[in-house]
Amino acid sequence: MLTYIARRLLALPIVMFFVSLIIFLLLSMLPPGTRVAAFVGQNPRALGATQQLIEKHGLNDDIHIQWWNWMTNVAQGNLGFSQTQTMPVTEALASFLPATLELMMASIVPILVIGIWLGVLAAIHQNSWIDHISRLTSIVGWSLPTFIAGLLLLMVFYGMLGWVSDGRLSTQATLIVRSSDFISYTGMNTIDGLLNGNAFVFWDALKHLILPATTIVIVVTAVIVRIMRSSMLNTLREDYIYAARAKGLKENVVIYKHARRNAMIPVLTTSGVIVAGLFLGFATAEIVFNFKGLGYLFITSAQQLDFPMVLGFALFSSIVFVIINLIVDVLYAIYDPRVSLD
Amino acid sequence: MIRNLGRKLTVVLLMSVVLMGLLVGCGTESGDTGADTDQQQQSEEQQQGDTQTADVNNPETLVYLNIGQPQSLDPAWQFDTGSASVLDQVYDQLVFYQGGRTNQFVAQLATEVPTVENGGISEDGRTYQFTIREDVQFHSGDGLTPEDVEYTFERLMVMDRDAGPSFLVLDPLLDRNGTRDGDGNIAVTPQQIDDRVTVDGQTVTFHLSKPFPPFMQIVETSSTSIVNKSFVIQRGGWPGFGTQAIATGENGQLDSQPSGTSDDVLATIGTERLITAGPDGQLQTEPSGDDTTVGDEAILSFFNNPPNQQDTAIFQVTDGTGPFKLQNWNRADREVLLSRYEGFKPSDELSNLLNREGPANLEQALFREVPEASARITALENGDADIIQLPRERAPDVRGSEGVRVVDGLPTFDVSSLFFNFDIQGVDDGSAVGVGSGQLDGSGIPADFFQDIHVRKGFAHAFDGQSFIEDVFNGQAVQPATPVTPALPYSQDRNAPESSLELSPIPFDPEQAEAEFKQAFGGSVDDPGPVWTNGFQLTCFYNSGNEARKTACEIMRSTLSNINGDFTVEVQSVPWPVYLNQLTSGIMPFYALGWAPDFVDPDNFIRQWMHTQGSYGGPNQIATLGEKAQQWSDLIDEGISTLDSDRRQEIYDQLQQAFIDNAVAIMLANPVSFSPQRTWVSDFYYNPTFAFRQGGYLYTLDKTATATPKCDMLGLFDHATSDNSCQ
Repeated sequence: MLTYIARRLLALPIVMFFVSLIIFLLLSMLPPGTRVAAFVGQNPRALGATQQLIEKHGLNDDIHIQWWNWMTNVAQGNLGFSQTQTMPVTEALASFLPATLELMMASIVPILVIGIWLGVLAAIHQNSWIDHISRLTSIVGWSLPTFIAGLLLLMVFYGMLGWVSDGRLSTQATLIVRSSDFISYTGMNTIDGLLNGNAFVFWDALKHLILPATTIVIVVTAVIVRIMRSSMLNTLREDYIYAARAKGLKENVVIYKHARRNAMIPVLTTSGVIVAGLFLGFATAEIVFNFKGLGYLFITSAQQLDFPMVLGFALFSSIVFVIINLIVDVLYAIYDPRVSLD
Repeated sequence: MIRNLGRKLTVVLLMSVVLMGLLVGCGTESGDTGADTDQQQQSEEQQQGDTQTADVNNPETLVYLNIGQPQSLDPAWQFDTGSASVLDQVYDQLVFYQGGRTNQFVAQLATEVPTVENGGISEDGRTYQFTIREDVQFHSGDGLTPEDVEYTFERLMVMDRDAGPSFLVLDPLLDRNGTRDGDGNIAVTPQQIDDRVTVDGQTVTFHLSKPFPPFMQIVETSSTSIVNKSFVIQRGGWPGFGTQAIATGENGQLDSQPSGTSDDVLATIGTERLITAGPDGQLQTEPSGDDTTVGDEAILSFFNNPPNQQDTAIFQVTDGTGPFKLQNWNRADREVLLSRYEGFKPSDELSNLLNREGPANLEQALFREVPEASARITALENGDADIIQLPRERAPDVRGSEGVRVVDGLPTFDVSSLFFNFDIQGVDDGSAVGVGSGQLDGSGIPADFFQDIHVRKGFAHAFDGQSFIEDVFNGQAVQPATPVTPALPYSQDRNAPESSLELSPIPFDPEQAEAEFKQAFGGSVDDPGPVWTNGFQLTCFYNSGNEARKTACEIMRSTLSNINGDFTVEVQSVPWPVYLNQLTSGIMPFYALGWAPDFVDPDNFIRQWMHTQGSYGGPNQIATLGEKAQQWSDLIDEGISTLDSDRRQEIYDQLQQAFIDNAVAIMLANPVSFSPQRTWVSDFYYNPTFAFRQGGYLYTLDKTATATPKCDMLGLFDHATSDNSCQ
């Protein structure tokens, strides 16, 4: 297994290389006059300076030269400067990651627990009212655009009830966190609140996680429910399930030990994709709730064609996907003894 | 068993939902105000004029929600509203605009406003002298000196980044728009820059290369905010003239290192490094390896045109003399937190003007970016925000909300236009956009379509400006006749009663439009030309997301198709990066865009439209209009270097008349601004030049009382529509 992991990790630079090449080639199809927008912003004053900016940032150079210059910098750990985020790309990724991690941790457990539980429940009660409700809710959840779900929650819990606002912290908590007495250990406000022994900040940060996390749970859980239900239905029709029942095993054991375990394999694959997606930021929810994580970072950068940031994000995405796929593969082997990584 | 398990899980889930509700329900955002009903009651009380601070959310902190964070906190780099909104609270300039006026000043860091009468400005308008106050301290505790003022202006010239603000001072002081030639090489000497700003005792003298009437307005911009010289140098900034530095030798590596005991600083820009003398001006480090000692010229070159904002020494730190100091700028959360500067001392003139002394009322101010307008509105209504930024079309959403007031009718200099491209590029090779067939065959337009004055006048008469103002701005705008908007000096309105010119926008007149189109391209009213007989097809472009510009194009499409069924105007939105490329490469035939002032003078506006090198005149190829375009350019150049106000009036009258006679562009709107704010916000002070339009000057703001805004603090002009109910 270790050999397998090492081999996959060694392949990572190759994946990153090709991802960067593809993105770079795609971006290079845009004329320099368009790409220069990253340095101009929406400022008509700069109209007369676009040519100088194109020259200054080498946007007119041959594409292979631009790519080589960029790769040389990347090899030295310099992914460039993001004009839209007003900071180096690496710093931007590091700065926005904690918010996304916090949101991912708050949503992934409910997604998996509720998704698997509802999927199993629907399968073992196929065509009963539980199944119908489960299917209906998953269809609604899956069909509901994230921004609609988010805006509805925001309207009810903030607009009408005034319980919790958008953003990551309230004004009072922000003033505490920005004070010199408060130390930011992780950038995750809940954890930093605990580490600083400040219950108010922890509580405040936790409250601000609930609405965006709930939005994500509503939308994403539907996927797990549908996959789990369908996989479970297939598994329940397998011969070894009949055999298990014929042996006189308790239904509980048949369902949860034999059927569910095997039905989990497709869910595991999907979960990997979901975790990777959440890791890279759930852009719509982050924008609706003004929860500034990686999704927010990417959208605001891409809108302005901030290509150093877009390229940096692409590299980061490739790392995340490779590592999460690797983890999923390893989990396969652990979960299903029939799978051999070697 | 399974059912039991299912029930248990259901109960657990239900409990989780209840717990979640409890979690979010416990306490409110305002913390100290209790429940929702309390907020409503509080709003009602505010409406009734209750002045008790206990009911105000975060009474010591102003929360402002906006849509853009600063690009840089370095005055010499920044050139955007987000940055200037913050810097105007942190830094001071030599003078401050008097009330709502834009051509009268009070002293701020200077002891008095220089005039010709008091000898501060020379008769020929080429010398300006400012005596600097001795009682001012920077936030760091350092005293303000005249050398700081000299350094500020020289550093602005030295830095001169592409598309930056340095031209503001380079033009009057060096008579050039940049420090580099067309090939990007430095074309000015350190001596030239050094000679332009000199210090004698407490007096700083500016030696202009030409008379420059709006120089006082230049002195009052965010870019000319006075910085602390030693603070900047200690952080690796430009060390000033007359110093030395150590540069890398042939091996490309900097071998020398400043010793721990010297004041020398390691300055870094991109991958380049330089050891510069510290604030004492003496380089103490000895070069080692093949490093070399260099002088002013090399130092100027090193600090000129830095690649990115992080390459400037004070990109994210400040040391100003203004009423607030920077406490924190979190660029990931896009928040700026300012805290009160207890040592702030307004000048006597400023103190009299604002009727207050000493430090600001508010302890802190939080500028927070919230991209969703709905979220900003909810925050204002719930009392979590005190002031918010909103697009005009959302203003009705907050009007009438409890505890919220909308201060409206605030004058601005913003102006927008529909632009004609006089010589559309790329029609022959197919790279032009929105020109259809590229010929006057009913399916397109030729490259020189808008060179015909009858076509331009036809378009201008076909635009229903009043409907546009009503539809988009709810009447809260005027349609200016020319880019010289009514509030500007030398406009026909408020500031120039001596002007005999009576200008009005080209009127909406479909019949006249029809007559013009018939005469276009060699036709006559009785024998219409090909424009009328064949029709045309073109695209009106606007940048995505700008609803006002979209509406302008749609009005144009509608009226033109009513005038002649063969006139087809397509309306197309384009993402800004693509729009920018199409605009600068001159391949768009007809598009909507606007302008906000760099400094308050008609030159800064009319130049962009009518000068052959203007921001719009250039890419729109106005030079193809021939001799008259050159005459306009010459007049514009004369206007900016003429001291005689009568002559200036004559020039701008002439240019404005030519603008209308030649239908250079279709003027859309000069809107008024508005500030949605809680009723507990008081003492709102506004000037149309402020970048922070919604909050004005933070120094005066307070959150303790419900007070009707004072009209004399809002810079209102007579013509501005207003529902402020100010006193």
